[in-house]
Amino acid sequence: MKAIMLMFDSLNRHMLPNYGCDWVKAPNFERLAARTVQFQNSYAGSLPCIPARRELHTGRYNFLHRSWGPLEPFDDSMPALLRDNGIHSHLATDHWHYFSTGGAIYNTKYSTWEFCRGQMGDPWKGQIKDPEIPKDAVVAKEGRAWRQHWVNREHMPDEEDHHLARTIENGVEFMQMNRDEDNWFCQIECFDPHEPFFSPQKYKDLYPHEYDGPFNDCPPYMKIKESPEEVAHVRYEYAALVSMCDAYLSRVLDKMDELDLWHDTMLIVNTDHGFLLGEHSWWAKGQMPWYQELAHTPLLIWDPRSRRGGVRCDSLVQTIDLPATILQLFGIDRPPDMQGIPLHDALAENAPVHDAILFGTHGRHIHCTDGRYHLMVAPGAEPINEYTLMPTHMWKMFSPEELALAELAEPFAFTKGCPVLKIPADAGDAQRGSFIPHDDEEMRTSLFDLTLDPHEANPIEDAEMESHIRAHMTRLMRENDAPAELYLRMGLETEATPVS
Amino acid sequence: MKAIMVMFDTLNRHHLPNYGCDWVHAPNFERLAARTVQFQNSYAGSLPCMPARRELHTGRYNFLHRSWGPLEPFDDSMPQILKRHGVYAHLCTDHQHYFEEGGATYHTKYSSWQFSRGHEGDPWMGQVADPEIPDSLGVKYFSGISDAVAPLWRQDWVNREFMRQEEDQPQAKTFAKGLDFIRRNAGQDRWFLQLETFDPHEPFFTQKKYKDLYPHQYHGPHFDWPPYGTSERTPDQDEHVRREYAALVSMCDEYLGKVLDTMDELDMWDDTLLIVNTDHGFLLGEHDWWGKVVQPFYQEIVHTPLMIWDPRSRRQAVRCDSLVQTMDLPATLLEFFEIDRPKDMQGIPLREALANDAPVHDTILFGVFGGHVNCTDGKHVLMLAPAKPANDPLHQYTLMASHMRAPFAPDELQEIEVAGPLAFTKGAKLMKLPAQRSLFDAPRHDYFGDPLKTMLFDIGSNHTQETQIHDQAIEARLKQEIERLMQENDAPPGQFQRMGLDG
Repeated sequence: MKAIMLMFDSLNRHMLPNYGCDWVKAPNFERLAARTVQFQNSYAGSLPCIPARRELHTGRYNFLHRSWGPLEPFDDSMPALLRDNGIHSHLATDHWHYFSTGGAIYNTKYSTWEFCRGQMGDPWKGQIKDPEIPKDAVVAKEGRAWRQHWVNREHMPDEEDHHLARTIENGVEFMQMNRDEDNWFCQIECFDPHEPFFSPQKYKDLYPHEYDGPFNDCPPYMKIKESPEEVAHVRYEYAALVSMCDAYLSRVLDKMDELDLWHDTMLIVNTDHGFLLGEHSWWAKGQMPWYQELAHTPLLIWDPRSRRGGVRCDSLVQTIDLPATILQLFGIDRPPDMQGIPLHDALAENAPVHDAILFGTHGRHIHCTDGRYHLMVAPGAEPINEYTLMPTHMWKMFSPEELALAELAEPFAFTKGCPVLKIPADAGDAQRGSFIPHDDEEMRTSLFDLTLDPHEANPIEDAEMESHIRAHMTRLMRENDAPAELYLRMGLETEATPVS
Repeated sequence: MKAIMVMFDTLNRHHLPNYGCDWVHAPNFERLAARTVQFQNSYAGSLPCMPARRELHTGRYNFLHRSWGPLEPFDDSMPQILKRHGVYAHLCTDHQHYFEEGGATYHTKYSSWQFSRGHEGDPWMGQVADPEIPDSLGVKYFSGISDAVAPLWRQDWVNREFMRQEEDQPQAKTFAKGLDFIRRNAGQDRWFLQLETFDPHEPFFTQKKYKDLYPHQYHGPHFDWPPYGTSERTPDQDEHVRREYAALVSMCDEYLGKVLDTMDELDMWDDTLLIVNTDHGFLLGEHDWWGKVVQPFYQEIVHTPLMIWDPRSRRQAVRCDSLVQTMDLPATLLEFFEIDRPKDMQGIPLREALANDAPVHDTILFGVFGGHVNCTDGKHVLMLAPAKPANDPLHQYTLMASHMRAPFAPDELQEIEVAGPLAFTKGAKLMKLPAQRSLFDAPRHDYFGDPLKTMLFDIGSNHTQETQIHDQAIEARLKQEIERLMQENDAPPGQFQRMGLDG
């Protein structure tokens, strides 16, 4: 057996034609849907980027214990388990967060890896002279990364220089080189269509429109303040990048056809989360609750054992199920701390997988859905902690001030007997530092009926249903061995026996 | 002002013509010596590769607290300090250890960085089919650590298939990127380029044109990657691999020449500091040993080449006898850019030594975590052994629980205590945990399983350290210096106890 995971970052389900979008040009996603089981109820878990990737290794939530950070010494790692069981695991990626402080160690778990440089503000080409940046550009990012992004663009004049093209080519090269070998896993992982929405003109030309406003292909993580014309333009810029992703998806599908890989090769096409482009009056992610546009993800899988294509599966599934699925495909026992469920039976016969799931970001709302109802519980004021043996944040190490407060905490059920450092979580984490207070109406605890209100415009009042979903939440937190203080913080104290 | 550091890994001082070698072909090192101050008493500090690089960032010893590992959250970082003061810091490297567990986060401290793939089993090209490996002698078949090395051995042969031409070799790619950086930014001010190649580290993989510089008869199996330890080979096999090393040094020399050419062409000498250095050396049969770390740190390993051009004092073709060390380099760079050094940085700027041979250190330490604590004043070397055969106690002080190629194992993390803050952790507490012992990372005993022994050498009269001396007065004086330097480094009480010192 072989497996290929083609993973995108920030790929919006609701902007794909196979999920009902009627204006984004992505014919190869439709071709893919005809070849695969298309999951209708697939969700993110721990958010955003790197927490999602930690789940891909460990097959369990991490957002109840830890914010964005490296793999921990006690973490199971799917690609390392493959490697250590004789399955070659290869990572082809342009995901630059793997090479910043908070993404350390992930790459080391694969048998081989390739990092294609130049995404966003990846500190790639060293150029001291300032690059030319459009004067009216919306400066959406921290200065250094934005400047570097424009340096990088100068070194990608042609489509084949684009990081997306190079990443896919590296993955396709791996497929070609190893076509006659058995027992390999290739993770082709593109940072696109994550912002900035940098794509060659030919993809922009798919979306002709009048626009003479400021340069904007990288919206800020803020409420919409731009004109309707500018919002529409940014949406077209995003769509152009999705169309580019679609074109490179075809490179992988063509290569599978050419090499006749379908008979023994699993194909997973997935993403980590979505990105708001005006829905709920917001740009981006992270500043607001994890609405459906963000957490409800596209997922398409071809399983060469059950060979079902062109079908849809309504089972409730999640990112943590993917490492479990891959290990099961290769006949490798799943470690006891891995809580994801192999999708074998869902792929074969739409078997149910989860009856309810959690998702969220450390320190923020905890979300729970059963596929029909979505409850987002706003946090209370009780402080929380980071539990870690690798104290780094996204861009920097924990500060000495944070580490002055470190204490030793008893092992959790999943730390393989290791005690861990317990460090009060505060504004040291940029994600929480810019957190908009939850007394904002939108940030309150809310319940939505996704069947009647798929866009979550109107929260419902249904005490019985809320209590039902809260019970799921409490159970799932217990199963994850969530820290005791979190039950208090989420107002779940009456329902839970705190786990020490 | 600008600065370029051309750093090699495992460049033997005693194999360079400008340090007296009469058979290795390296004319550009001689050309460099004519352009620079050549240090005659430069030493490594914390060993081996990654501990030395941690010193390059922090400007202080780390081998009394920690084995090979990432930068720590409380560490000062020279390139990061440069960056924060508006000096652009760029890293061009092929040093694959930066991208393993134990080398994590170093590269993030530079303004930008480029990594050229393919060295020493770097998990680069994904080829599932086994590579064709010729009948070989080498690290896989001889070393006591062969199990850990086996995947590297295989991957190295995969990588070699993709490096058929010289320009595909990591060293060539690294220098091409570095020269590209220099050309692109020659007209700009205030930048630092660290152009760092893993060569001439083993395996001694190079091209025919460099091998042809060392004609010799050899009909044995392929052999360019010697294992660490004692030799079980024939003399002609050992002689062959020495020539393979020399060929790789000659390749390094060729690329060093390109940097000198470019500095000439772009007329950079007036405002550009140039440092050419290495982390440590490698034994190629001297003392009947091969490799490093698994045997005492003889001069061939720790006494390093170092050449510096300082555009302020403009001294060249001179030799400086001042006792200096790796940790002085970050201090030198910060001083050069007129940036205050953080208080935890213990290295000393070399400005005065470069200008007028001013003395720098009276005595210095070097060593690996858990091994001998070595001390020299430039005339004598004391290799101080632990007080007891058990070589206890030994604790890791860290917040980043990674070894070279793996995280700390859960069974190593069961007995964590929270310690500190220590004098240099800026208020941060950290983990204290009993060190797991291994020959390469935290030795308990020597290579043969015997207790480490204290040894004293007079390197002034006997630089090759063939015979130990016995002189209680000198030994006592250097032991006192060890104690003083350990106190200055805020070594933990356990280290004083381990070494039988009062603290």
